[in-house]
Amino acid sequence: MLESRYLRRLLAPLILSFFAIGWYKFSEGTLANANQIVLNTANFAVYVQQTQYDGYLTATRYICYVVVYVGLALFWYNLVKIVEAKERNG
Amino acid sequence: MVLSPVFSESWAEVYAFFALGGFILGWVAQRGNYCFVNAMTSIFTTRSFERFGALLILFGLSALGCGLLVAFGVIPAVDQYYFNYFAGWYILVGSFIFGFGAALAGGCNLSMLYRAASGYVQNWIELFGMMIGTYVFAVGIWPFQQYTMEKGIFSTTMGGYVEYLPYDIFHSVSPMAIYITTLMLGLPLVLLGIYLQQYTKKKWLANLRIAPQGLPISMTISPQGQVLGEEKTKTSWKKEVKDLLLLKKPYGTNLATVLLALDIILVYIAGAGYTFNYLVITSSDGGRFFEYILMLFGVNLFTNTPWFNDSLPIVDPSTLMVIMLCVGAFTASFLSGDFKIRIPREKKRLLIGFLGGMLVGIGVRVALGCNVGLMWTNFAQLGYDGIIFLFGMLGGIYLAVKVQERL
Amino acid sequence: MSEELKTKNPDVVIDVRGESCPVPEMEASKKLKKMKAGEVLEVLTDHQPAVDVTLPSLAKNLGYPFTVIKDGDTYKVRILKVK
Repeated sequence: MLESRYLRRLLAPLILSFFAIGWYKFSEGTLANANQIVLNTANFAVYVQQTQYDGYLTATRYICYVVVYVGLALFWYNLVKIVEAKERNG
Repeated sequence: MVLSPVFSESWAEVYAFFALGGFILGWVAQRGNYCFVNAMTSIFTTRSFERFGALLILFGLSALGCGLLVAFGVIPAVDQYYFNYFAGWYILVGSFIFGFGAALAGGCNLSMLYRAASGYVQNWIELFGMMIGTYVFAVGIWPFQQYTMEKGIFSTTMGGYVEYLPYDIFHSVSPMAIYITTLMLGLPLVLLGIYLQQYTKKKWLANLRIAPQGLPISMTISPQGQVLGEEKTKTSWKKEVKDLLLLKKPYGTNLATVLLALDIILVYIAGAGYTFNYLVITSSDGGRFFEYILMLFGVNLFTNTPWFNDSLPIVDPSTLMVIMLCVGAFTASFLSGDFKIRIPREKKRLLIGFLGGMLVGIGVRVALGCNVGLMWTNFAQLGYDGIIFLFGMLGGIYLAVKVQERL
Repeated sequence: MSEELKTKNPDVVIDVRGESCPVPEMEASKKLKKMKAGEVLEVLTDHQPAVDVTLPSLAKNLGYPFTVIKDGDTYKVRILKVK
């Protein structure tokens, strides 16, 4: 069983990556639904223009890509370091 | 009043700048251990004005940076004052409640988020308490507060230029009026901040002379007795920069202050004319996390619940700012080796954290914003609500310190 | 005297690991008030701001020498109460 500090170093970046994907998927799904609801109720004070809506999703998607790559890179780097440390200590 | 964009940007670019602003905010605040509540509790617990002085410098630099950009014609004045808040009883009452709750719970909105991202369980509980407090405010307090705002009961009835100091003082939003007001507001804050820091340092030096000779005042040593670092050792600036870049050393308070001031100016310029172009975090979006959780279960508060139905969830640029704040803080914490799940030894702290978080949620909503979204931002807006908030928050924190001493 | 602060067993130990500001400095301040001159207080903490800022501020404000020992993830901040 891995020590807690090793587990921390491996799990934390993975959770970050999953969080980024989860946030993007959540935004994509719920935002469209929410905008449709306010349109159906003619609540134009709250309705968001398509350009802004698309801009948000575009920005979030690219940020998600970056965060996922960084998370996976950190995970891989720490995995290699931990395996090396384990091999050195026998 | 009509907003006047300076740069032609797509919405994706605006969101990207806000995300970057949030990332920098989280990263710098985590590395600098920047906490507004800590800065104020230090006045009462350790009699230190060092961090409070840094806060005043931050407010002053923000006012100077944003104000001078308008005075020199780079940013239109309307983009600075368009979102200025209504002033009223709720700013003072809300900031008092907020200060009390934040000091009890162990963090302002900024430190709550970056510490939660660094693994502090107490701040997770505080954040959850804040979400519940936001809902309690929305159904129990907002209808009454909104009524007093509409009717002008101990409240102004509009924001914008009415809450803009150049207009209040000179009845003008001309470049000269803005220039003079900026200097009148910004310079004394910076000078007072520097004075308070120097005063504290002189006091410490005087105490040093009283301490017995031959004693190390401070040093960090390993269990084997090897000295890892000594306070009085002068290191070269190249090594300092290298240590800071490699995350071996936390950022100093004044370095963090300057970086945060630059961050608010970045967001101010990038968002001018498009949206609320200041740093704003849990003012709306930490509190709205409760709404997002309920959306997973098909409950849409924005359709029928007071306050929540004022805007569409998620798509506000400040939502992305909050998310990236957490990502920035987590990344800084993780890369520096500081990330760890920390559970308080005394479990009563978790209950105190939750109750404090609820008061934070209620307080920031009543005050129309938090220490970042209202107090700090309002200095950059050349408004006066930030001054009211500062005094209210100090009062609440003082009471919380007295209560904490008895707990 | 400097060796004493490093090697002497502390007279009072408070464990505030997991706590964040203002708990470490508040607990330290409360204990110091009750201690006698010449006694050493040791604060066990893993909260970086307490180690970097608030506990040193407390000690400097009171004019008490202090030292920080790093032991894994935990910091031991030792403060000597002087007259």
